[in-house]
Amino acid sequence: MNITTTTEQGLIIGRVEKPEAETVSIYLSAQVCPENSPAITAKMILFTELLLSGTATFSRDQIQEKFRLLGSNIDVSYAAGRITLTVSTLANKIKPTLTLLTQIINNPAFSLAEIKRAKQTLINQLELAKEDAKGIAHAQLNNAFIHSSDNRYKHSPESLSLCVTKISQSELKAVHKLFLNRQWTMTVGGAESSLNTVIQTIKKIKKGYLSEIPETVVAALDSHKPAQLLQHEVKSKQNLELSFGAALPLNLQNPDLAAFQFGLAVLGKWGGFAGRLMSTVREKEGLTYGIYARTEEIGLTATGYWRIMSFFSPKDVKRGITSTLREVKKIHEKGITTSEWERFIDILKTGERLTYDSLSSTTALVHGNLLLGRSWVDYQAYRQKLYSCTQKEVNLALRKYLLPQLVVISIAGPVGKAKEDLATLF
Amino acid sequence: MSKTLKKANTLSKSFRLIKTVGDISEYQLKANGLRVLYKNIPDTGVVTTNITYLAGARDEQNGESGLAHMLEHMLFKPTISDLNIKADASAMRFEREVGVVLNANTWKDRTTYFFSYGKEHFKRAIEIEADRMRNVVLTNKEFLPERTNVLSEFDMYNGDPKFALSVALVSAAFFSHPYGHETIGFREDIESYTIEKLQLFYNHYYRPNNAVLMVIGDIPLELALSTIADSFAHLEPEVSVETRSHITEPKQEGIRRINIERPGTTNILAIAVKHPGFPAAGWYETMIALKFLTDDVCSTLQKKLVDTGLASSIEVSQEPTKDTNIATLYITLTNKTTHTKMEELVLKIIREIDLKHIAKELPGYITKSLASEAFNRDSSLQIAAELTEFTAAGKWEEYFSVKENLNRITPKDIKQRLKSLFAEDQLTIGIYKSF
Repeated sequence: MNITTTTEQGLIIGRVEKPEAETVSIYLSAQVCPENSPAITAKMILFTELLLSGTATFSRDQIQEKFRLLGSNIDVSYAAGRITLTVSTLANKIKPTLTLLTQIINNPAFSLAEIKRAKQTLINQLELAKEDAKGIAHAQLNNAFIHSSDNRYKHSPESLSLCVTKISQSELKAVHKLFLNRQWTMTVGGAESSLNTVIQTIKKIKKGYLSEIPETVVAALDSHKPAQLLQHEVKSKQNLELSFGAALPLNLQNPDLAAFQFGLAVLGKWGGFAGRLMSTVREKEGLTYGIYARTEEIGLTATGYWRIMSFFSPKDVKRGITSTLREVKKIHEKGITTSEWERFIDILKTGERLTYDSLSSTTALVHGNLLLGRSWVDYQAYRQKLYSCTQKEVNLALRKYLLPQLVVISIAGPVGKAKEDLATLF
Repeated sequence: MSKTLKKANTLSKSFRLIKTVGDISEYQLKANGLRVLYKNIPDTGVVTTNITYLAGARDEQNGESGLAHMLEHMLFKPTISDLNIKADASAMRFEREVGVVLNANTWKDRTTYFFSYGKEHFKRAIEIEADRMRNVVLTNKEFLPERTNVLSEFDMYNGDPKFALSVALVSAAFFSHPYGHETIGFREDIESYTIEKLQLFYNHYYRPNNAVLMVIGDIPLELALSTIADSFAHLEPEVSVETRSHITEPKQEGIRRINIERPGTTNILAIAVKHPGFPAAGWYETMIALKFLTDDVCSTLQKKLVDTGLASSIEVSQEPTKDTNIATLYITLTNKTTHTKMEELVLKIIREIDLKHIAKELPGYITKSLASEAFNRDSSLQIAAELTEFTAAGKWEEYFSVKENLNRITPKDIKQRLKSLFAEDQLTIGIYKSF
């Protein structure tokens, strides 16, 4: 695969070229909102639904039927102030798919009937989200570090529901205007001719609009927030979902980030069984099915937090938390071993290599980096830095940034069943 | 010796070519019956190997549900050779030293283990699979903590109302056929497993003549086969494993119902229908019929239930199992309706779907399914995963017939399929009520 990233006519473009690929994947994102509130988030989520709910020419049903007949998929999502369109199609259907995409981007209808329907559907979906214990545990932890006006803050389903009914047609049209005039980041994966066709079309769509970059206000995180236990009752679940973590005063430009991420991988590499937490808390102690760690919400200039994700049964939750914190403390104090350092260089290299076996995974990887403000060249440089971290650098980073005394523990699920055990933790 | 001659020798001495369909060839190791499916994807530097044992949840005895899945976990424990060098399980070391992608999964008809890795590790991957086919040491020291993990996994699934419904639905839908329990088993059964039960299952089913080894990726044929022969040829087959008894489920003579009540806020109506096994024409017809009902925001039930605010979501599950199984519609209700009213409405909507409407919509659902196939074959890992289902059904060559199977479906087939699937005396209905 041939991968390049460039900036052309205000567009940030990623190209993932695979000769003779039969499929095409397109990601198109715009950072729309510089700040956050329940009203803003609700409006953005409703907008993503309505962008696919009819154009000046076609009804919602007609759009869906046309995509179906082409065998193409389109999805619109919103997260952290950003709207993303994801399109997948066969290479031989790329032109009609792009014709439809152009219609959708340029001329959404925002009909009152569709707005009414979409509001009702969204409120019903938010009702379901109240039972998503894993999502709630993560959101509680996230919100312990991030201010509610920051677009990375995750507003509750309850607060979003209250705002949905108040959104007007003119507000949705204003969001559309903003979307068109923001800088777009696009990544395309496929054969060369497909890439050229997609990029030309998107450039053509964008030609009449601005490419503004919003002044996103990111509040500095409190990296000394004291340890605490956050709980949310979801009675219908059997297990307690947990997110552990602490604020991390590092961004993508910080030279310590690679060493810290290397160390965090040794502690709990995301996916698989290689991390220490999997071999101790899961394998040796049998306390959970999966336990992983990674950094979250870090940007080019924004700092984020590190997080461990797992779940325990109510009867094992005290032991599970104690074991997890023991491993955090151990790696903070003693660092990684020489054997771990040597092995994880290979493990991390293999992980990157296996990604390239899949066109769609590679395209997603490139796009994710562009959204972080990292070109492909920058990403490659980062990977090299990761592979060249010394054991000493990793251990210094863990000592400095993985602070057990600051770990916030967020739990969602049947917390009532573990009330007494949890009360003894803090 | 020239490369060509060596290739010919390996093939004729150790393997017989069974057949080639498309770009996949099937070989059989003469020594013990191990079958190999080989597909070359050059220049990627990556290989996926996948070994599928034709033993799954259907092969378990009463009171031992989930045993196949428990054993799957135990194959990540040390073998005799690992213990000899006082090391962790070789499969785990493979990940912890090299970073391979590895995992396993158990289903109704099969249990599958896979590795995806840089091609220079091919020999190691094959040696690990051969070693753990017969030599895992099953002891309480390894088994007891792992059983706690499986119980934790069970609780993870069981916290999902749809899983709880599924457990009860399959139990009600099957009186005799062994598809009547979920793959992970019942919690009470998991708590009563013993090492002896695991050992019996392992000894019987984990045999070369009951396994299919897939090699997908950037590795030459002759190297693949000679490495496999070196590692597997000494393993003993088990003759009796080849005769899995065929069980015919007694005829269903009326609607069956199950109820679950739990604390919470979710209310779900589940409608389970019986469909032909995979990859028969009827399985594909069922898939398209269910897509027609639920697949995208403008499908029939989405329009009439979600858009009207009666349901907050509709999901469908259909498994590629060898024999007749159930597919299930899960409809999450809003507070605007009741389970009874929803059941009446859904069945009425399905009865009233006319041929003209199906004829209009069908080409789109077929085209979309064909496009999904192209995306499902995006990497060696995905190709192996898809091929696994065809292999477990005993017809790997049908991997190449998906297009043909989908394109021959007519509107009349879908109309007839909907009628037979949703015939009221053949349904199993589940109600999940929160209090």
